[in-house]
Amino acid sequence: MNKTDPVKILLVEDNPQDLELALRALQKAKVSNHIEVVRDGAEALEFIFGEGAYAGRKISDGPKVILLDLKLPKVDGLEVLKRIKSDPRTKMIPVVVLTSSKEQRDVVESYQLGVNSYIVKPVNFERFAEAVRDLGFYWLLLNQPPKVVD
Amino acid sequence: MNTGDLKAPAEPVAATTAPRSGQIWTYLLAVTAAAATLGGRLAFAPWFGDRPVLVIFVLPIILSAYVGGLGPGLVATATVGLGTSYFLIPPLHSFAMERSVDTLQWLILVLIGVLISVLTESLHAARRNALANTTARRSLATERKVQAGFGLALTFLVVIGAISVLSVARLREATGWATHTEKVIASLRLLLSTLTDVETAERGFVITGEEIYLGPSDAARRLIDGELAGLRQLTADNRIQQAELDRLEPLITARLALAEQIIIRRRHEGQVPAQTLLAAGEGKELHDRIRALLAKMEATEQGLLRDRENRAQHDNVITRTVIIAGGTLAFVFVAVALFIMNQEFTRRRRVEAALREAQENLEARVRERTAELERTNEALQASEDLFAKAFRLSPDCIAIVRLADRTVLKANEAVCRLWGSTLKEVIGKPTREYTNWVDEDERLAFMRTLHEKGECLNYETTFRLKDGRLGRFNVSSRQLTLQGETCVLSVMSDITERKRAEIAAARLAAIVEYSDDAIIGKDLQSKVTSWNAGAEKTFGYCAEEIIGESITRLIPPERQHEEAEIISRVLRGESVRHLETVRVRKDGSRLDVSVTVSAIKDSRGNITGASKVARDITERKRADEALRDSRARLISTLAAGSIGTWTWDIGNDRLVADEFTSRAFSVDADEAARGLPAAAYLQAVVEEDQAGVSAGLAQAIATCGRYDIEYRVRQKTGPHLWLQARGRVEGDAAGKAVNFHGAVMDITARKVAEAAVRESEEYFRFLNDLALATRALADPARIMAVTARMLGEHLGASRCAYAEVEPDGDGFTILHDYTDGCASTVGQYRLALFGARAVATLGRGETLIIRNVTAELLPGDGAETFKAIGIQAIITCPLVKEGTLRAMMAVHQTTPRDWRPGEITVVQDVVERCWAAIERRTAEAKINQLNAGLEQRVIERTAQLEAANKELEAFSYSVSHDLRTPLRAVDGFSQAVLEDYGTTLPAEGQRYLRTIRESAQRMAELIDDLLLFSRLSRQALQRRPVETAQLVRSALSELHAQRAGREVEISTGTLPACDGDPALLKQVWINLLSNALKYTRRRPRANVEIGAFQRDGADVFFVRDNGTGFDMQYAHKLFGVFQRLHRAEDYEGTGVGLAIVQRIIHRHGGRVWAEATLDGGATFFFTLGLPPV
Repeated sequence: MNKTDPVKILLVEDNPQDLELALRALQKAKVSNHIEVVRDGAEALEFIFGEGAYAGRKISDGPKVILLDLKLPKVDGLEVLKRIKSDPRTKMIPVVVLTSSKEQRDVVESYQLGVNSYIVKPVNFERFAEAVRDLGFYWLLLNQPPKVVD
Repeated sequence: MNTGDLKAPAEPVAATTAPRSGQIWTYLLAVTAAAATLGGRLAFAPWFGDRPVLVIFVLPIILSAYVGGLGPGLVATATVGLGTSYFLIPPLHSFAMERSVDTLQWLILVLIGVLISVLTESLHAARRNALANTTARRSLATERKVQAGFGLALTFLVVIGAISVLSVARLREATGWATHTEKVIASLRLLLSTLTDVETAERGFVITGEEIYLGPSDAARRLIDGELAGLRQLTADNRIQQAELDRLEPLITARLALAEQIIIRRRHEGQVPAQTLLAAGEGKELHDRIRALLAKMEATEQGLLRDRENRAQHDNVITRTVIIAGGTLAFVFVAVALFIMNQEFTRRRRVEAALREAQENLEARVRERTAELERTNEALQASEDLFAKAFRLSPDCIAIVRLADRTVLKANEAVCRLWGSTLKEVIGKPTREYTNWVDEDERLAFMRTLHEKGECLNYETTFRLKDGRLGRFNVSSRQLTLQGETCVLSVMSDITERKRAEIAAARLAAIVEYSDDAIIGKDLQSKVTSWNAGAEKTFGYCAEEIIGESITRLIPPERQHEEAEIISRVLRGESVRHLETVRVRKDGSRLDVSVTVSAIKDSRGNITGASKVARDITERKRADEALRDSRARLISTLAAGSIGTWTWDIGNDRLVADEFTSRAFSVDADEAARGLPAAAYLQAVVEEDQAGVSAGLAQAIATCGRYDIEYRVRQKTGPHLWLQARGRVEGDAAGKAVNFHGAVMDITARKVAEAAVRESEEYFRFLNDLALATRALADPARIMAVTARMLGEHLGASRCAYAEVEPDGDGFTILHDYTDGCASTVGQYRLALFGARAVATLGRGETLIIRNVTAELLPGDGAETFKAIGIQAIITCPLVKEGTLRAMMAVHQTTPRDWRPGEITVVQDVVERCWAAIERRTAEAKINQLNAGLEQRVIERTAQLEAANKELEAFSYSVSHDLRTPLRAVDGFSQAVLEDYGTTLPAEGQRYLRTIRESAQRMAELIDDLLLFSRLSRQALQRRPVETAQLVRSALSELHAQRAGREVEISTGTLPACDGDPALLKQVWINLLSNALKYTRRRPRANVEIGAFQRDGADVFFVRDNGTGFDMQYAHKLFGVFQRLHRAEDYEGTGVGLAIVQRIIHRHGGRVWAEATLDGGATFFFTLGLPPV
């Protein structure tokens, strides 16, 4: 994939099984085009802001939606969310937290940081696939984000 | 009277006939007229020449002022003023003015304009007022006066205008003449100078012979001719100057001819002949004559000019005088006119006010009269109504019957009642149908009398009523003529009741008359109105004597006030019962009576008098008095026990006393009865009181006064006696004390009681003080020290000491003592040294009391030890605990002291309190110590708990995240296998995968429930008032899915509001209701009942179902985590739901329990604890 190709979905997930299942669910929902996967918080930030390994990537090509796990190595998911939402260039990108945690404090904190959606990964795969499909459909098709200005 | 005329308002007539100033069109007219006049003047400028002729501008001003009044007049004036100044008065096209003449003329114009405006306005005003007031003829005369004033003023103004025009013309003429004179003089001077020029030229030519000198000479000759012709023309109107000119002309001609002649000679004959001719002097002579003539002419002309200027000046003065005088007069006339107007207006206002007042008075009178009429009408109406009503409603039967055919014409309701028919039936019917007479003979007799006399009044007879009863009636009839017909008016009154009352009254009168008691009637003025035989017998007056007289005649003088009291009580509606008093008979003798008085009321209930029943009780009274006397004697005999009397003949110093007194003073009774000197008694008085007694006696004797004193007397045996002695001194006429009577009373008991009270008060005050002083103290030693000091002070002891006893029960230490004037005893002692008695008494826990060490203790019994530390009397209280002597409190006295029981009690009491206080303080100190330790432990435990909580939180967070991830993988990949390779797997393999997935999902549910359960114990309780009913509704709606497709009947009873965490309570309801729905699943018709009741003052909520239920022997397992009473394949679930319920209820301080039978449904109950205060 060319680095300057516009990315529609950025999937931030460290657990390989979950990653595979999420991708499977996205494929089933037919929204698997232009998915970029990063495996930890630091990489996610580099990708989004075009730094480090992703130097040269334009922020304006940034993902249309970010699916973010909260429990991530290196940089924690909430920290990633905070960075995205506190930068005027990226704060318009919809961020969907996709996590196993049902803990109230995670939910509250995520919403305080400006998350657009919060989805608890169900153990049941059908319901997981359903949730992924719904959110992909919603954020990619229905919810047109405002154009991001550099 | 028609009041409308008076009220009609006066029409404002003036407004329609006279134009008012201030209308727009009049202003427009003013400007237009002024502009038109100016335009006309400019258009015809050649006619007027260079004169402004301002007088024509007065016309538009007059027009405007006449039409519009002051405003338009002033506008026209202003327009004209500005226009003329700009267009007519030089310099043109500028508002400046060159000539004072023009300025004057312009100012006059403006002034006249203003005056005209003002005058016209006044005129209009006057006319308006005149028109407005049509009533006063005088105003017409006033108007004429005002108009005359204004007319005169106008005339003067016109005259002033004319004069000013004339004077201006004159001024202009004078100016013209001055110019003319100047021209003439200039011409004369030019003539002379020209002649001089000719002569100069002539001489120049003669001397030089050069032609050049002759040039000016020729020109001068032509000029002289012209000037001469001009002069002749200029002076054509002046004969004198013409004559002078006639003389001048030949002289000039001659001079010019001479000059010609000299020039010709020089030209032809040379210089000398010409010079000769020149020197002949003819030329000079001619020249001088011409100069003289010209000077004369100039002088004449100057004189003329002066004359004319003088005349103009004169004219000017006259003009000015006329203008000033005219103007002043005009102003005076206007002022007079205005004054008259003002007078008129004032007068008119007064008249109008008077008129208005008169009108208002008239109106008020009309209103009054109208009101009066209305009142009269109303009264008339009311009286008619009253009359009709009285007729209709009268209790008496009233009927009017036509005599001819006995037809009833009119009858009232009472008649109808008597006849038992309605008014409609009665009117117009013959009366015979209704006869009530019982006795036909009586009726005939009545009718006969009526025929004969025309009336028959107050005939009493018996009527038979409609219902058959008989009644007495009083019948009155009278003939009268109504509308030409003879009629009979009958009035029948039912007097049955009255008759009955009369009979009763007669019976009562008989009773009264024959009663033995005096029964008297009186009115409110106490006049006797009735008097029965009993009264006559009791008081001696017969009825004729006393009726109409005042009843006070019966009352003895000193009791006269009783009557007023009786009357006032009667008026208040009370009755006086059995008042025992004294009255006077006719013969003056007194008698005791018992009087009962009650009110007499008239038929309306008003009190009009009183009836009085008096009974002679003289005999009874006498018996009463005898009884009272004997009782008094008895009392005095009884009292003799503690009261004695005495009489002291002061002169002979002989004091006679009764038995009690003699006993009290320890004197022989017989001697006392015979009399003893006072000193024999007084020696018994205790020393301390003797002085007081002597002084009291002396003072009473000196003043012949009273004596009242308390003192003690010694007794042969036993304690002193307290006596109260009271007496009175009798003096003779000279004021000298003669006899002294008195009594003594034994008041010992009272004194003792008083002393006891005092002592007890002091004691309690002391205890209170002690409690206050020791309250703040914690240290037992300090408490003991303070107590010892206060106790010592209170008892006035020499020393008060506190000692602690050593465990052996013998050695003791005095740590601190209170001393008053003796040595301290602080130190170590052995109890045995104080003798066997002390050891034994204190060892038993009893108080050791010694009043006198020397007298009570033998030398070997500790007496020397007591004496060694200066103790003669002692009270020692021990503290014995668990059978051992622990401490002692001792009160010492260095002298023997007779301890009173009260004092001993004080010491015991205080020491007991003191021990108790020390015990309490010690216990408190211990508790404080324990508390401090406990607090520390609480802090430590709290910290531990917090740490554990944090750990738990971290743990559950981790569980929430990490435990579910592998499960998701298990489930997800199992599904992936089923999806991707399902077709290649055998059915059994597919089932295994599905089981894997189910297990994984069940594990996830378990994790969720466990997390929720653990969160419940961490989460803070948010208590607030909760509407239970609403909570249940919300829970039911969330469980909607569980009910879908089933027949479930849910009945909800009244649910009281409760106090708790709404979110947690909702969880409780959800879990309980969910269980109820779950376990009724197999019922064809599920019943769930939700309700609440009260038990022991608390609300008990319950959920009842008709489901599977359970065996009560497993009920204890119901609320445990993961405890299930049913197989998973029958009823799914994690076994955490009820555990959650229990935890929530417990956290609310409540209780949850269940009742069920196997297969017979289950009921879950719960209560909620009270909210923390």
